[in-house]
Amino acid sequence: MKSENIVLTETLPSSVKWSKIIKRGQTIQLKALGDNASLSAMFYNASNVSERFNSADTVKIQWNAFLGKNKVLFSEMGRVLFAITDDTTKGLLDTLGGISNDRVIKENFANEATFESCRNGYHKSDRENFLIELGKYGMGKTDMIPTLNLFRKVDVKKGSKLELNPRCAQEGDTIELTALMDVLLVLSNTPHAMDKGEYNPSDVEINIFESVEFKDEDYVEFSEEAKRGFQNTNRYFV
Amino acid sequence: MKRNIENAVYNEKILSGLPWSGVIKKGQTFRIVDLEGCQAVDTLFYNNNDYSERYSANDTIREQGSIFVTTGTKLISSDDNVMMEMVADTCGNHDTLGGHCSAESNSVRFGLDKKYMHSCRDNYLTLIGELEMNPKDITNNINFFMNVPVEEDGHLAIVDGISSKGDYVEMTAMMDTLVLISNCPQLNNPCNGYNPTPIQLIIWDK
Repeated sequence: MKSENIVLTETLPSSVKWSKIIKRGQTIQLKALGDNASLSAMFYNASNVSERFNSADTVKIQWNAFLGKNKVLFSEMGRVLFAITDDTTKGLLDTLGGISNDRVIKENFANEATFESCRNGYHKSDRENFLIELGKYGMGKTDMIPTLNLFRKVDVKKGSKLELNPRCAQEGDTIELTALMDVLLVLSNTPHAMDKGEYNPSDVEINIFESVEFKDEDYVEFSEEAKRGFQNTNRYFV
Repeated sequence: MKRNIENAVYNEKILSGLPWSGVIKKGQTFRIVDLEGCQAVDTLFYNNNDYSERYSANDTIREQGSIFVTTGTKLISSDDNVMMEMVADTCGNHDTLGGHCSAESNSVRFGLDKKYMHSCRDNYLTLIGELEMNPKDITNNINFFMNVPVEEDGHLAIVDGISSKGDYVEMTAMMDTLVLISNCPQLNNPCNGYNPTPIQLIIWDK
């Protein structure tokens, strides 16, 4: 599902937000440039942003609260926005913990860092980042959906208790998402909402690979449910 | 004031498969009764004065550190406010992860030919159409009485319910809250015992 040719490379510095439309057939690779990477992602059908990532359908349809390679990310329309086509972190993905807001940042990272005190090193929250970036597309609060977090994982202990897994991605770890439709992807490079201590998310390198045509053999490794999602998605483009 | 049926301000039976909407005013208490047991009651919450503020599954489960809602749970909004506080629960283990069924997800889960069965999302779309809301207002809901255990490896499945005839939950509104319910019509899995049944909705003043 991936071309050899990279069409765009850039580095996403600590604490910032980013957005781009990833075209159908393109793969976006997210690479941790340090040992404390943590991204939050919201994403939408770029042609109809009412269609968006649905974390509930994604975990229910694939029978697992956790994600990893060869899982797909569904919209509420039974279609696939992204397929997770590589993941060297072995499952550091999360749909449970949600996003940080200003209160969470103040509580979890004791040294309050405002623009007044720290200039552009101030501690941004996911909420601030997403509101700003979504605003550029005429979107707002009602578009802030249950999120996908990358490079961190939340465990479910004893059947119900949520705990942030202490394991972090290592420098060089990558997660690759292949777009099955034109996807508006919005990222926030901020600490996980359950992280505490030091506010220092690593820089993340973004590589986008040239669009490819999908072939039947591309779907072999995926579940029957994911295959039906691919079918629904392909029918959408007829 | 002790809550009994005689002093309720609202008391209606909702048949299986139907949508329902209503406003629970600040201070009022809302009871959902699973009349026959093992029903799934898909429920969404909005600030009645500003629908852009709504129940947030992520914030609710993260702040309480547990995926289940039960007595003592505060239902947190997308703006970090408490919308409802659960004050009674005779069942336990109400689901926050599984969302609601839809024609489209049924087609993926159970086969492309299952697309035209009645679903919770259809109920929600009916309600938000009536209320002049927007599909973007539909988010991850609570499924009262639906049993979705999660194992250490993340395995998750909608399994047989644990609610019995007459089990109920009660929640007190901390703000004027619009509640949207789909009394789940799913026939393809055990979320409601393959047999959708009626519920009773009761509201008491403060």
